[in-house]
Amino acid sequence: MKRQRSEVKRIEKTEKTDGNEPLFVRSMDVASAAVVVQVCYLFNPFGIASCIAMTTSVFHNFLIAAALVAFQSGRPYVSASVLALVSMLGLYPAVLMVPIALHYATAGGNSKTPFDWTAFCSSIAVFCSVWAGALYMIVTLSGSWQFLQSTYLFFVLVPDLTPTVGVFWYFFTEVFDHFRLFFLWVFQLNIFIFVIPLALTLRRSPMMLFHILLILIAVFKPYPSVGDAVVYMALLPIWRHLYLYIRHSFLAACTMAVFAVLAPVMWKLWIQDGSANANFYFAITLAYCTAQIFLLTDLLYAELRHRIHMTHGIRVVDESGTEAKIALS
Amino acid sequence: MRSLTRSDGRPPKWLNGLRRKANALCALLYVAGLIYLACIVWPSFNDRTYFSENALLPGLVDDEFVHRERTNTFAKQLREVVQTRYGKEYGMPHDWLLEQLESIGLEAYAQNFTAFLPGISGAVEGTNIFAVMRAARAPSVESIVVAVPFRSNTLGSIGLALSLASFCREQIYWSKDLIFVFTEHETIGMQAWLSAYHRLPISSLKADPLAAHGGAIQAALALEATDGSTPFSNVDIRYNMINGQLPNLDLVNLLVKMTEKEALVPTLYMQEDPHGQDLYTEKGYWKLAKTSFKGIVAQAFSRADSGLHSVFGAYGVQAVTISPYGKGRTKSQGGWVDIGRLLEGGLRSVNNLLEKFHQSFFFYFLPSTHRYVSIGVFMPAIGLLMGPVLIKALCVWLDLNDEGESSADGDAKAKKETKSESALAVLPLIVIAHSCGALLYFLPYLLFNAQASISTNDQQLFQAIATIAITLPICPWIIQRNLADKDFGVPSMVVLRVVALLELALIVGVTAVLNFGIAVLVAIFVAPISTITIPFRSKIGWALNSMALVLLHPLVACCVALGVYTALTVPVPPTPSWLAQRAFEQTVDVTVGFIRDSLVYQSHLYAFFTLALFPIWMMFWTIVHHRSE
Repeated sequence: MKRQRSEVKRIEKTEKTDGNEPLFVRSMDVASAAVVVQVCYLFNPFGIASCIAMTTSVFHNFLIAAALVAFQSGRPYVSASVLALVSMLGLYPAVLMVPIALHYATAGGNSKTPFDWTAFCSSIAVFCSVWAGALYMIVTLSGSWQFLQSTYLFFVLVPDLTPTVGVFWYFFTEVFDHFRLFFLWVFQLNIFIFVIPLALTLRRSPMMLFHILLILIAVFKPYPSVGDAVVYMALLPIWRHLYLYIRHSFLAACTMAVFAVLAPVMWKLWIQDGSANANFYFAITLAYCTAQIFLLTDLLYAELRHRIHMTHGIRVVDESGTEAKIALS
Repeated sequence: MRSLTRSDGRPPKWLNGLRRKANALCALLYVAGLIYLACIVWPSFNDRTYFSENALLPGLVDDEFVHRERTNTFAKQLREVVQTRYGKEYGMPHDWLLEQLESIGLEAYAQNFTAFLPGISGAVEGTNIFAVMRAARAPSVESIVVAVPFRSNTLGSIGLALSLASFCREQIYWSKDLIFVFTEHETIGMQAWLSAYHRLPISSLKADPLAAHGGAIQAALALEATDGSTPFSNVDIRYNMINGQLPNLDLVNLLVKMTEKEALVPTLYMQEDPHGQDLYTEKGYWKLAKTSFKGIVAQAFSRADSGLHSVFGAYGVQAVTISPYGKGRTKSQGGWVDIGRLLEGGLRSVNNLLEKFHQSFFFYFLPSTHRYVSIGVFMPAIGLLMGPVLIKALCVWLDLNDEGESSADGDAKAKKETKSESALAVLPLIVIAHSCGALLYFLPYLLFNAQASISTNDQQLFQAIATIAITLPICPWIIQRNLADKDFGVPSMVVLRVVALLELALIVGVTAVLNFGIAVLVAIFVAPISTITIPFRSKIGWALNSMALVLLHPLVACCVALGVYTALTVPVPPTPSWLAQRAFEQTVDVTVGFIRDSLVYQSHLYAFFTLALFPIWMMFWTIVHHRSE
């Protein structure tokens, strides 16, 4: 019995290197990923559309990309500073500080190294101080704290209900005034509450956490736009080694394509022709949010499944030799 | 999420069943779609029309329009003026109209416009005459438009409109302004007036700004009785607008009710309703089906020639055209006064509106004047007809993925590489197909420059378009000859097929919301061919596939459809050569007409055929003519 077991283990060990190539990141993928990411960014229809509309999401995306570059090239303090600038502009990218701080704290991703709390706290401290410094500069330049009303309080209180591609406007047109504060809390907490379980699960994969939080921000911001989706869509090619486990790519891609065509049509029918109403437009933006959520959960599933296969091989066999089924519990 | 994959990441069980029975399921869904379309016309499956907007209070008031003498006088004077001044040419007497409107007591203005159209050398110039009757006791924030085109045979209608204007001027109950518009060059003039009213300039139409406005237009009624002899017996209610838009069903129902109140028979597309007891019989069914079919075709190929109402849609205004015709039996009914009372009743109902038309349906088609089929009832037909396309796309995609996974582990890497490389290799073909469509779309605008004095006539324009449309399909051949076969192996054709099928489903689905008529026609004819378009190995399969695709080429399909329509409607059986010639001439007319409509009325039909359908056709053509060695 014991010998059988040890034999099985030895077979597993040799098989580990043979059939498990698809699990590993290939060097040619790393080289080509740079070009593919660039192409995906430049030719993304949402990116081109937000350029034509001359929105400020171009600046947001640039700063987030700069923060990502600094983050990946091992300069956490630079990354924290740039992220402080983005957060100063948009408030919600502040959650991206969590993966940066985690990366600096775990310093390499090996599950054996202890969690470095000083590194974690120092990076967050740099982030907060740069943000505070920028705010102080604004206060001195503008002379008062009134800018808060037009910037952060605008995001938090959601006073303007112009239809966007998000989920806030439709709901808040219907909510009663005495429940408004309650629902504001619920909706705003949506972004921040999911960070905690995601960070705990992905504490050893800060890049994946960063990517997933980008999608989360794009979905649950009060005033999102399609320009927010450009950065995370461009980053998808870096997860080449996870493609084996992504399940809903077809569905999410088709839904995105349908959204890209149908949303302007529904808008025109509602606003210009007067034939449709808000429900038509909200339905298609809801489908867009659903597609993004599918993408998010797909990435998460693929990452977790990949971890299992990295420890047990591409074909997980139990003691009797039959292939095990891996279930998401 | 749980239902889409099983928890261990494998596809759900029903998906395997779907893939095994894919072909049978596709055929079944398509046939079910056709049967569904045939069924929804049957009265048990649709509803009787009703009024959603309670504020309309249709037909509740007693109509007071009795000015027979005044109407006749106006019409007679107009005829005399036109004949003495213009003779047979029937020019529009602008100053006479201005004078009459001012003598009635309205503010009368003229508006000049100039239109530059391809195929017509020189510019089309004209002048619209319009008069605003201000509401006596209300702020001028809303208005109702009564529009009459100036044509040789609408002189009686203009006389009626003038006398109706004088009648309306004497009443005190108006809460909205009434604007009476007499247009020259029919819908071109109407479009010029509307674009100036809403201050939305159109590039090929230079319209002078209006001297007076009347607020947001709530509804528009256009009158277009041909000068046949009164008494009329029927009133044709036309409601199809450009781009397949339809007015609110309440407005159509209102005019049907007003027509019946005057003891006239309302018709749609000159088809009378089946009589009461015939409604549930076979004879009645064929009448309903014929009206429905005419409705769908009219919505699909909506041009501006059905009446002045057709251009109001783009501005969010509900508009309908009344067209009295027919030979009445008694002299006491069906005269101009009764048409005037019909319009008066309609105007008074619209006058009662508190909000713009929003209650009733905007997406429908009408089998008869008293039955309607709403979007909830006819949209599943598109789902059933497009279901095969989507199922095929899904099955082909899953087969493509399976090819990569089912091979041995050592080959898995190689297979994945070819799959992703072939997916990228197919991208140039997609870009080329869409560029061809874009070229075809922009060609008329390149050839026709409004500012320069270059003008082409119909024939030249059509020849240019046809040449490009017929020679472009050679591109895929050239590309495939020059590049190595490794780049365009069969897997890349399969990826192209998935892309083309998905794009077709997307285009038809989106168009179904905008213009149901064209979507259902495209779904019926294109869907079955697209599912069976594969790179066949055998010669016969290739030949049949090619022939089917050639028939589907937009120009060829247009020619064939017009040929069939001509053959069916001409009383004498025609010779094939005459038929071919007629079909060709009509194709030229239709194509140039689409281009003109897109310039003047912002009609999207030409863009639909060139930017949306032609690239998909090119992709299928590429798939069929793929060389596999």
